[in-house]
Parts: sequence; C-alpha cells; structure tokens
Amino acid sequence: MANRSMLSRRAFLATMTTGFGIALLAACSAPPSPSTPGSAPAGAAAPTSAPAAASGARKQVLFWGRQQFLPESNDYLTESVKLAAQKGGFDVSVQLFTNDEHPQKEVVAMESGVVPDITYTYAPALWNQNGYALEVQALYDEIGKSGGGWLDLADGSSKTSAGKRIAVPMNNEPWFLHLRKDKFAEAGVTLPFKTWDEMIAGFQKVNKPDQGFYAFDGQMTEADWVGNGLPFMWAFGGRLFDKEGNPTINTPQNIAGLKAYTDLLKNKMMPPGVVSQKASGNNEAWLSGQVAAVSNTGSIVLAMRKDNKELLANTYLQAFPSQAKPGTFVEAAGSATLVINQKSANISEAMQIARMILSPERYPTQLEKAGSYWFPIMKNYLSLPFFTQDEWNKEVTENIAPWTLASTADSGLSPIYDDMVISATNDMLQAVAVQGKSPEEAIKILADAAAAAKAKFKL
Amino acid sequence: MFAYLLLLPAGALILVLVGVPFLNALWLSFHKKLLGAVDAPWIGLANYAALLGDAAFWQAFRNTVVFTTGSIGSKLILGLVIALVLNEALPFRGLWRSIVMLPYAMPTLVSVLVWKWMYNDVAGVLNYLVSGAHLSDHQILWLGDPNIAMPAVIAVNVWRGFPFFVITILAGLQTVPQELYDAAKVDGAGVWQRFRQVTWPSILPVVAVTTLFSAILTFNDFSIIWILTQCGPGNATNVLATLTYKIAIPGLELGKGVAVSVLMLPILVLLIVLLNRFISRREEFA
Amino acid sequence: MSAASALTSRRQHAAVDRRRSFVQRGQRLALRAFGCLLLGFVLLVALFPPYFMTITAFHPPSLSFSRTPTLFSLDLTLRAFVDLFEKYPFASWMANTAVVSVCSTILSVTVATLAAYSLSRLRYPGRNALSSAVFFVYLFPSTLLFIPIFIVLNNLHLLNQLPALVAVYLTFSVPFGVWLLKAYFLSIPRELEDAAQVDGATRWQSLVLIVLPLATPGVAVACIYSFTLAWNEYLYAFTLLSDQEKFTLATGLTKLIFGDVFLWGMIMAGGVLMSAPLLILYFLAQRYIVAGLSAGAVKG
Repeated sequence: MANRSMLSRRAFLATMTTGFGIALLAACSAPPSPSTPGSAPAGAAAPTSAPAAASGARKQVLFWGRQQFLPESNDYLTESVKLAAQKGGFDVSVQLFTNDEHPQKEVVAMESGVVPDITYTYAPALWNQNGYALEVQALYDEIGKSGGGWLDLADGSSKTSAGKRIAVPMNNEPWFLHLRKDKFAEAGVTLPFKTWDEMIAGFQKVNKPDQGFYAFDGQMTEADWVGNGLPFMWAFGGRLFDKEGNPTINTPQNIAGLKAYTDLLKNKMMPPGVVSQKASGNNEAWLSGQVAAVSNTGSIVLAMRKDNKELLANTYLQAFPSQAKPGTFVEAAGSATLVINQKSANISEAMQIARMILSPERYPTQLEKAGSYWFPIMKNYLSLPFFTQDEWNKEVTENIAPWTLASTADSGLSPIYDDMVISATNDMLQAVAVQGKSPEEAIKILADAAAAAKAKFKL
Repeated sequence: MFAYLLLLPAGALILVLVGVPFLNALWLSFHKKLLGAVDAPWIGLANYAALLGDAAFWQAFRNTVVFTTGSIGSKLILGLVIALVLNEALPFRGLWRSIVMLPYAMPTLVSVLVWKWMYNDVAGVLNYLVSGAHLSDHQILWLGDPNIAMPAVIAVNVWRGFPFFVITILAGLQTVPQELYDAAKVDGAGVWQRFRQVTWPSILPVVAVTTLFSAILTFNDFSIIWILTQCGPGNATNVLATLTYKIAIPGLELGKGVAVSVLMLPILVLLIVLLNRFISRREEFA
Repeated sequence: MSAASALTSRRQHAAVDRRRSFVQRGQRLALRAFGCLLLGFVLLVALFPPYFMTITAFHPPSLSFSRTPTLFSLDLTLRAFVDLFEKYPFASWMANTAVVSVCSTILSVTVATLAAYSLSRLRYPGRNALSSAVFFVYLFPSTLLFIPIFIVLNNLHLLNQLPALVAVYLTFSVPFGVWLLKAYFLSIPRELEDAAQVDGATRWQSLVLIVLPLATPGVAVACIYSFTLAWNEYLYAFTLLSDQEKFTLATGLTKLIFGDVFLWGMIMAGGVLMSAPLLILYFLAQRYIVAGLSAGAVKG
C-alpha cells in the first residue's frame, strides 16, 4: 500500500506540473483577438459597436453574415468585404454564422450591446424594432440604379410597414416546386401545371401510398412554412396583412389554403412523417425518391448537381398555380438583406462595404458562386449567362422569379410576421395534423399569435 | 481565517458566475423584457400569472414529470441489474465494463445526432431493421408520432445515462463485505432474499445519492430534447427546460422565459434538500 | 432422542439441504443465464450507435439520400476526415477543446481540493451551511444563465476568450468535485495529519504530501468528470466564442449543419474524432473510477 501511494504521489505531482505547464503555455499562446472590437474597452455607456477611432488609428469595422453552403460563396463575399476595407482604409472583421446560430447570435448581440456595424441578415425587422437599423433610402436608390433597377420583390423585403427603408436586399431566394418528370409522365400527367385543379389532379394520379410513394412532401412544422403553407394561402387569394400592417389572418381564403394543405396529408398524399419534419425533411423525401413533388429553395438542386445528376435531369421546376386567379402563379421568396447599425461610429465605412458587395464588378460573380441559391434582385443581372444558359437556372429566372413576392410583401418588414413564423405557424399546422382540430380552429391560433405579437412589440 | 481563504476561489467563482447572473435573471422575471429591447417596464407577477394560466406551461410540466420519472426509473432499474451482473466473476469483465461506459463517454452532441439519424423515418436504421424483420408494415414515426416521441426521447436519455448508475452501484456493491453474504447463505437465504436483506440495504445510500443527482440533471436537461424533436410533435416532448429556452430566445420574451425557470426551482430545491439529507446522514455514520 | 431417530432426522436434514441447494443452484444458473443474456443485449445496444457513427464516418460522403442505410460496408474512405481538416480549422478545434478541458480540469480540481479540505478538516461557524450551499449551484440550468453570464462577461471584456469559457466550466465541475473530495478527505484518518504536524509539517504540507496522495482515486474521478464536462459542453462555448478559430469541437461540429443540409459524413467523422479521446480516457481510467468511487465516496 505504501509503495502504491508513493508511486501515485509521484505520478500525481508529475501530472500537476505538466498540467500547469500546459495551462501556462495556453495562456501565453491565446492573446485576445485584435480584430473583435467588442472585446476592446468601449468606455461609453451607450452601446456602440466599435470604439471611436483615436486620431491616426485605423477604424475597426465588424461585419456579420450568414454562412452559405458553398464555401466559394462565403470566400467571395469575405473577399468583397475586405476589398472595400482596403479601398477605404479601414480594417474589417468578417464573421459568418450558420442558420441555427445566426438568429441567436443576433438577439444576444442586441441584448448586450455588442452589435456589428453592418450585418447581412434575414431579420431586419428585429434590428429595427430594437433601434439599430439605419434608414438607407438613398443608398438603396443609388445601388438600385447601378443594377438597372430593383425587382418588385425588393420593395417588400426592405421597407417596414411604416415605410422606412431599413435594408438593402442582396438577393432573391425564391422557393419553387420541384416535380418528378418521370413519375408524372408514368401516371399520364403532362407538365407544367397551368391551373391549381390540374396540379391537384396530377398529384392524385401520381400518388401511390401503398407503395410508399407520395405526391407531395410539405412539412407540418414551422420549418419551410414560407415556401409551403404560405403559397397555398396565397394561391387561394389569402393575405396575412393589409397595407397598413394589420393582420388579416382569419379569412375564408386563408382557411381554404390551410385546408388544402392539410387535406393533402389527410388524403394520404403526403408521407406521414411530415408531422415532425424540420427543414431537411422535404430534401430527404425528394432525394430518397419518396415523393413526386416538393417546394424548396435551391439547396435540393445544389445537392443533385453535386451527386445525382440523373435525378436532376428528371426535375421540372415551376411556381404554384393560383386557384383564385387561374392562369396566374404565386411564389414566395426570401431575401437576404444588409442592415447598417445606426448607432455605429463607422456608418460610411459600412456603406462602402454594402456598395462593394452589390457593385456591378463583384455582384455577378457572387451570384454565380452561390450556386442556385442566389438569384438576381436587380434587373440588369437577369440576363447573365449563368441564369440564361443553365436549364434549371433559366426556368427559375424566367418562369418563377417574375411571380415571386417577398413573404413580407403584405405588411413590409414587421416583427409581428417574424414572431409568427417562429412557432405560431408550427402550432397551427400541428393543431390540424396532429391534434385533429379543424382548419377554422387552427387559423385562430395564428391570428391570436399575431395579436399577441402586436401587444408584445407594443405596435 | 485560513479556512475561509481556502474557500475563496470556489466562493468567488460561484458568486460571480452563478449568483450575480441568477439574481439578475430573477429581477428580469418581474419585468416585461424583450430580448434586445432597451426598456423593460416593471410588471410584477404578470409573467408568472400568464404562465400559470397557460395550458402549454402545464403540458410542459406534465411532460417534465413523465420524462424525469420515466428516465430515472428506467436508468435505476437497468443500472442496478447490469451492475449486479457485472459484479459477478465473468470472463473479460473489464472489457464489458468499458463497453457499458461507451454511451456515457461519447459526447452528448454526437450521440444525440446519431440517434436522430437512426430515428429518421425515411432513411433511418431503426425503421430499416424493423421493416427488415417484418415487425411492422409501415414506417414508424419514432419522433413524429406523439405517442412514441416521448418514449423515444426517454430511450435516448436512458441510453446516455444508465452507465453512470452502473458504475456507482457497482462501486457500492464492491464495498459490501463478503461475510454478510456468507452469513446469509448459511442461514439458508435464497438469491432473492440475499438481495433484499444484504445487498439492497448496503447499496441504498449510493442508489439514493445517484438517483437524486441524476434526477436533478435530467430535470434540467435541454439539449437531448431540443436536438431530437425541438419540443414536437405538437408539444408532446416539450419540457420546462425547453419551454424556458423557446420563450426566451426564439420567442424573445426574456422575462417570461426566466419566470419558467424560477417556477422550476421548488422541485429542484426539494430534490437538492433530499440529496443533502442522504449525504449528511451517511457522513454522520462515517 | 434415540440414535436411530437422530440419524434419520440428520439424513432427512441432509436430504432437505441437498434439495434446497439443488434448487438454489438451479435458481443461480437460471439467473446467471438471464443476466448474461441481458448484459449481451445491453452491450449490443450500447455499442450500436458508436458503431453506426463509425461506419457512416468512413463511408464515401454524399448529399444524396439512400432509403437503405449502410450497416456494413467494405467501401471505406478517409474522404470525410480529410475534408474536415481541409475545409474547416478542425485541428484548431481539437487543440482548443483539449486546452480548455485540461485547464478546466486542473483548476477545477485545485479549487475543489482547497474548498473540500476546508470543509472537511477545519472547524468554523457556517461550515455545514456552506457544505450544503455547494449543491445549490445545480439549481440553475444553463438555459437560464447563459444570457446573464454573457452580459456579465461582456462587461468584464472577457468575451471570445477561451479562459472565460474555462471559468464558466469551473462553475459546473467545482461543486461535484467539492462533494466528492470532501467525502474522501473525511475517510482519511485525522491521526496521520496530526502525526505529521507533530513532526513539524504545516497545513499545506500535510495537505499536499499526506492527504492528496491517499485521495488519488477521488482526485482521478473528479478529474475525469471535469474533463468530460468541458470536452462536451456546447451552449456556453457557442454563446461566448465568435471566432471560428477559437471554437471547440462541440461548436465546430454544428457548423456542418446548413439549415436543411446535414453533412452527415463529416459530422460523423467529427463525432468519431471527438469521441475517441474520451473513450480512450475512460477505458484507461475505468479501473480507477470504480475503485475510486468505492473506496471513498461510497463508503462516506
């Protein structure tokens, strides 16, 4: 026993000393990062994003963004930002976050006052709500002119319901229907669908639930609601808000749209798994050959380009036909936007960055590098070879993008809308799909959530 | 004086990184504070009133009780039985013990992601095995069926946590003197009676401490449910820990989210008081 | 009692005993068989997810989905691992995680040792209250505290610093360490220290040279617990770190999820690399853990 404890004592002391050595080394080799202004002493009581530049010292600018799937796209964007910094004589730090991290980082940033100078975000309404969004109408007009004018989509993605221009849109991220050419042909259905009834009839013909093959995969959660549940409502003529920004959710048209969507599940035209699918659910359903149709943004096309060209060849893309106005189409689109922090000390530098990213020299290549995720939001770039030569890009640019509306087109950017799509849409869909409530009851959930959000944000 | 000095590092650490933030959060729960907003008006107990009147809160409460008792019960029984088996003189005992520790040693994030992948209704391994063995003719929605989702989530928690019970109970079993068993055998006690009269009373203190400790951690557990189901389907797996997060971060209502955590405190306090009672009683006898 | 009847009753007793021991042996055999079957099943269940993770990690990665998962494949490749190191600063992530875990372990055990020694050996008012207070730290889930902690660290200008992360991890591991080591120290006879002090040793010397060596198994358990906690932790690492180079493995792995695209191959490869050090550590230490828990904490 004595022998053993002596051995362990030696071993223990040895580990302690090596441990301290490592700790010391670690402390020495991890100096505070010089390019994160947040950690430098801020001094001022009001939340600022970067310390005021001392005379002669270079300005430190912080840029936040979303990480795109293709690394080339992220690298190119970072390059644009750094180029602007180089030209303008300031230093910049670029931080890109994934889809899950980004929203949380944003709110935590606003809470603590450590806010970037310029951010590429999907939640401009939130930045405005908390008093951080700079009014950028002049910048918006300037950049729009350099690109040949904005598409209609841009307006709804960058202006609040009060009419304040708080963001500069960077792209059009449209949703679109993916249809299995081979499966529909087998079932004797001709594409494209020109009317809503044609589409539903087509779905019925191609649907084979006993063989585990379904017509459409639409999630019954908040995930991808913008591209699935919302277009169904729009197709029936429903609208979420009126021009003043008041919620108009509990209407017969919206209820009809919701009913059409959930009926697909009820009538076994959707895989049963949709009740719990999150964002990747319809990707998986499509790529594994379980369904004949899905609605998604460019990520599925990207995956097919990468390692399933055969499936890509069998894919037809189109917008949702309208039921209320046959012959027209509806489609939703998201838009990544640039918001500038109005409390920043580096506003002109931030504007330089925005101009560089969207400049005619950098923007076209940025669109290309993003694969089929980013589509042009300014008119000049619609005719880029990248969008006219590739078969699927062409379909999107010519036949789908013209019909796209920002999901916030009705009301403009509004924290009510953002709040609703986080969990109220989930509750509404789950009420019908899982809890067996009627669409009339379920739509009230969304309407109540909008009213609660109105109270929450004191609007 | 020296004694207090020795306590200083631990005390200072806990005060700054736990005490102050908690008091700050508690203060927030009496205000209407939205994440990122600057102003936070005092609303007294309004957050608490809203929560106690909300059906979602009570559903989360019920789910928490089900989740915690289901997990702890299963971990305890499974851990006990496996510990008893591993206490026997088996060949390669060390190897079995190491394998049993695998779920506990694997990082939580990784193991939960693997389980999520295994539970996938289209391409998941479990459905593949189930259909291969012809146990079911359709896909089982492990995480999508509200009746199956909670047991599925509990299963992952049990998988992750039972090795902790195995190891601590095994340690307890090894302190039981052989003489007690021999005496019982001489008295003609069968296996079950030996367990009831010798083994169980001896390991009861260990079992109690481990159970309470695990209960506290399970009660607070957030990441397993959040990664697997994000509270779905239809809030079937929403527990208080996930409700706090959901209200505070995506929902932006920081004050209300904190209020949920504060409402969790009474149960936790009860568990900790019981834990303390068990530990100090054993220390008296030490 | 006559000799004959005594013999008969002895024979009867012997027969009863033989029957009883036969039944008992049968019981034992049946129980053993059941136990081994159950153990086998549990081992299989315990082993399956790590096995599946490894297979997926070594499988050629693709974004496409197959409805039939691969359970066994000889088509192995290191592509996912190579991609991890090439496309992401995975090596930095591993280094950061190692540094944070080691530092957090050393500091945690040191702080816990000091506190445990104080609570177990020295007498002063409030000792029992402080002993109990240690556990109340566990009342507060991390989902409650992570934003206030973010704000506190922001005010101290310690954001995006690995040392701050270490400090936060200490708050989880120190209470457990204090409890465990206190139990250990209490089980070490006071006489040893008294004898040393008679020989002229100071309190420090008696702590380091006498008590600690005897409490080595307890220290080992505390180290392992602390290390595991720091290695696996996600929420605080995510909240407090912003430079990709500073990430730990847990935050780094979530970078492989792009909304609706999961890079399963690389995620599993990262999972394998993240699990391996822990598994090795546990394998080497499992003897210590059981011995450690049984010698000190369990006996009280």
